[in-house]
Amino acid sequence: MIRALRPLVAALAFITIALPAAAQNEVTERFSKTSHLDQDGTFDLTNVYGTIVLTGGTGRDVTIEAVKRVQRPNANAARALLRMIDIQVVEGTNRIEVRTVVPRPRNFPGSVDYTVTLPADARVTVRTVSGNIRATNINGELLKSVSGDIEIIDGSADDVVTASTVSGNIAVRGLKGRTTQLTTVTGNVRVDDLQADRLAIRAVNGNIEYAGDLSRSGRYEFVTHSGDIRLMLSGTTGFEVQGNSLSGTVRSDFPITRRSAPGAEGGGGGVTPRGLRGSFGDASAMLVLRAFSGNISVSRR
Amino acid sequence: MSCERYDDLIDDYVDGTRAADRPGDARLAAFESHLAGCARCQALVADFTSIREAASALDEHVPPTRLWAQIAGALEEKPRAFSVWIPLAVAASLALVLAGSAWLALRQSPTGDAAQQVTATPDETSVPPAEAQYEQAIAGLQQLADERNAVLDPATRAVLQRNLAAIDRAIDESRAALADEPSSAVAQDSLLDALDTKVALLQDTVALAAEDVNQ
Repeated sequence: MIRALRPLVAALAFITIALPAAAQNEVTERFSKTSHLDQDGTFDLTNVYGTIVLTGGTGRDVTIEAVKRVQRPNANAARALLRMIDIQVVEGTNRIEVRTVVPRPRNFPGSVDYTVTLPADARVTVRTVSGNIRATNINGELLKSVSGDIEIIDGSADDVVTASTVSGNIAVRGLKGRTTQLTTVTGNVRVDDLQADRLAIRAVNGNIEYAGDLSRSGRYEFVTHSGDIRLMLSGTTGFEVQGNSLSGTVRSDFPITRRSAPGAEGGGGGVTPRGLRGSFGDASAMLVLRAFSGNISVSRR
Repeated sequence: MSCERYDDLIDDYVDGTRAADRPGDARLAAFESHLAGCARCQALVADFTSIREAASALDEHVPPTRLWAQIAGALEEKPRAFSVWIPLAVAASLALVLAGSAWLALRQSPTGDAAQQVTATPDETSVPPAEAQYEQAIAGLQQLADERNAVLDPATRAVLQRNLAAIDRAIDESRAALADEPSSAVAQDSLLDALDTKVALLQDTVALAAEDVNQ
């Protein structure tokens, strides 16, 4: 079916893209479905373009509201293109899979915005190419986007929470989880008031900011190549720290007690312009901070 | 510092996962090559292995009948307060606490630090083979990505290419720093971080293209 429509889609896409963008007609179509997940069910959503908003609640229902959207100068072409966006929902044993299917060519001029409410204990996997993801009060998560921003708010996760984007930013607020892993290449990462036993943040060009307290026995790793690392800590939990920047500066508002022998990279202990090595307080949390050319700062919140 | 990047692989390694069984896993291969020259990681692996062996050798303790009777009585009094999983959960928690304590004790002990310093020289020599493993993985993935990414839309392709270029710059800068200062642990780590990120992005590119083709 989709293969047979390809020439038509290609022609429509060519005609509509070639026309001036000034006089756009937006056509939309709503999609709605309610389903059910038992305890610890699985929800998977794969989208191409468009925003995704997920909210965890106390009920067992899963409500999927979606808006298909096409903006084109020619209203008839827009309507024809809109009909080619397909939302597929597959329900398995305590599992729901939602998938947006658009015909090729992949620069299809349409998008689907999703608003989903689901049980807070559901294990959620969301993948999208272009579009922001916002997840509130969700338990276990894997959120992945190429060029969108990812926002995680609240939630109490027993499972690993993973958010990964290529060029988007990641923001996490008020999450309670055992293990949280956040990665981006050129985006920035900001984490506020996280409660986690393990946190790993990696970026290449992006900045990393962490504000809040540390968990006792928690392990935190912040790595960026050319971005800055800024930690704003309450200081109620002690920590052991190993921090280094090859060409950036390193500073700490906290008195760092020297632990390792002289000669080690990073100044051998305490705080030097390039290194931070030692402990503060009871050293119950572990911090690893690494930047190549970015600056590192650990300050009081 | 190089040790920290492999901490999440040690559990799997102790459970018997090897790079030879997972040819595409460049990080695991890098870890094995690092492990060969790092006393700190060897000590960690030995410790976890001993914990694992000790745990598997434990006798199965069946609670006496009277204990179950007491629990059953308590369950009748407070139907939602207990579960038959509680003994298992307590045992699992104890095991986790013991394992966690061992981990922390080793991590925070002076001997752990000393081991890391003693192995500073062999640790540094582990970078070239790790880099070679990454390069091999990257070459294969790059070929697949080049073959398949034409199906992706131009905007997505541009984003991926821009970010791959950013990673390549990080790789080049790390290599230049290593050329100036071959013993720099930060430069070594930065190089391996960048190579690791490139592998991950190429894997995502190939997966994205494959998904598109399958639609």
